[in-house]
Amino acid sequence: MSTIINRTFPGFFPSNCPTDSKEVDVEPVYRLVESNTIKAKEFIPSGIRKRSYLEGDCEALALSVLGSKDDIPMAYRFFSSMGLSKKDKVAVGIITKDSGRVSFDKSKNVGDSHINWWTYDGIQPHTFFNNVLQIGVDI
Amino acid sequence: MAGIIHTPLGSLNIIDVLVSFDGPRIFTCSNSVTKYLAFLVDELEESDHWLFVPVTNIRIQEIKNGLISIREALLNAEGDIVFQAFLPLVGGYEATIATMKTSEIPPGFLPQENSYILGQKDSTIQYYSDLPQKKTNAVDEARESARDVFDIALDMSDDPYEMESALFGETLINIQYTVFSLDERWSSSKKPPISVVEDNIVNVSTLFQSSFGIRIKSKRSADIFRVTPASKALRGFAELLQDSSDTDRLQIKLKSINPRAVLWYQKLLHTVKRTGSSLKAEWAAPNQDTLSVSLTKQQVDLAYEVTKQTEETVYQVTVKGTLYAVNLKRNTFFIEGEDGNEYSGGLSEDIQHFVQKGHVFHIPMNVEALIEVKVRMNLATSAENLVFTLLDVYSNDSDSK
Repeated sequence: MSTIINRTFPGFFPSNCPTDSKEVDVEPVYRLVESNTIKAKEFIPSGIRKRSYLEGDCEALALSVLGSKDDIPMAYRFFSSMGLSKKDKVAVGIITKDSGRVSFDKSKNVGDSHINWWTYDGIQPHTFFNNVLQIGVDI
Repeated sequence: MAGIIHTPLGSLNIIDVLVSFDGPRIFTCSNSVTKYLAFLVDELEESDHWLFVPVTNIRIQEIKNGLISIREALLNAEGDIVFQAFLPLVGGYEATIATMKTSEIPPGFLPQENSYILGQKDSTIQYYSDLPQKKTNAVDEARESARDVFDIALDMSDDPYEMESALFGETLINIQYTVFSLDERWSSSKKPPISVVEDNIVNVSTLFQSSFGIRIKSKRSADIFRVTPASKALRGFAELLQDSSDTDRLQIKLKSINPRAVLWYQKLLHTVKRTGSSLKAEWAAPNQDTLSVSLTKQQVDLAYEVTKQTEETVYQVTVKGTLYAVNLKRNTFFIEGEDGNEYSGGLSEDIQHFVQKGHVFHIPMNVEALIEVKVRMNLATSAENLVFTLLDVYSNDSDSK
């Protein structure tokens, strides 16, 4: 697990991002992924990956995870319908309070346990996950 | 606002995120003119693959209310065109964009048939439409029917799929007369010449859902060059609409067209303005020439204001015909033109002085007359008033004035 250096966000985050968030431990958390193994590239927030053409969207700088296993089927069905059917596996991990800030953003599409997780500068989110489950087999 | 996405379509403000997973994947966005539905197809190594389709406010409501799926919204994009963009993730690569017909979208690019935006249904807003979906796009229809096709869609703010019959009638009349008047052969007479009418009649062939879509087609078919007698005027109409997105361009345009067309176009804009609509139009000719335009409500309003500056227009015509009367007491004249029209009005000061110096008109007299035409249009009553003034007369019976 990464060593926490400081509690600041990368310089390209908007100044007021994130708002309404807190440092908190959450365990376990689940994230839809494509690969059978934990790969760093699947844990890069969209807003960071798309920084060359997308700006100003704070939510895009957070990782989407679920706090409840029960919401996984619903989230999978919804994202599959929207063209994300390749994400048919779930990485299981934790969020620690010194890794970043979270907001519990209930989603009508993917479930009440949806969480946005903004990680501090230097944090590598994939290192907080250690297991991958197959939807329809393990869950 | 939920951010900005920089694309070859311009920098688009993200308005409403419909689906988010690590940020927006499906959302509505806009520039100053057009609203788009953006759909993230795939995330590749060096770029992201997006589809953008123009959408109306009504279509957005339909999506958000769960009336149509994202898949349907993409496949039934208004205008039948989808923009495919590849947006690079790193510097050194150019963003690319291409258009394709909605019918050509590979199934693998699309979300599933059940791709409804769940959980956002607002049962207080329900629009029901009798209007059918458009069966063919304008370009294909023009090619296959060998007629010009002009699709006009009015996006009305209150009831998107219905239109007051009187406004509908006015809209059609104003479109038809704008097209007539863009034929330069209609110059001086109050009614369009028969040849202008015969060549430029357009028929309504269908209504379609878009929000309120009207398809008109040239009555006459194309010649061997795949051009119809109405192609030129309809192209002119499409160009006039295009130039209406910019007031400077419109001012220049209005100076270059038949003044009568300005007045009829003003009436059309006035009608559209009364419907509170934005307007989209697409013209396609049998030879595959095509133009499309989208005007916001604000642009319609501005264009109308520009045309109002030319409510009275003055120009000159030369008329061949027979001078039957010159009334020196009332300073009036009457000419029966060879074009079948009658011209009567006042005498210019030059003519009056000429007569006062003793010149006598031997009437009836074959003449070539220079006449000033002043066109005044009353928008409230739709009445058109032509005022003729005789500026100069050349006798065709002798060489003298």
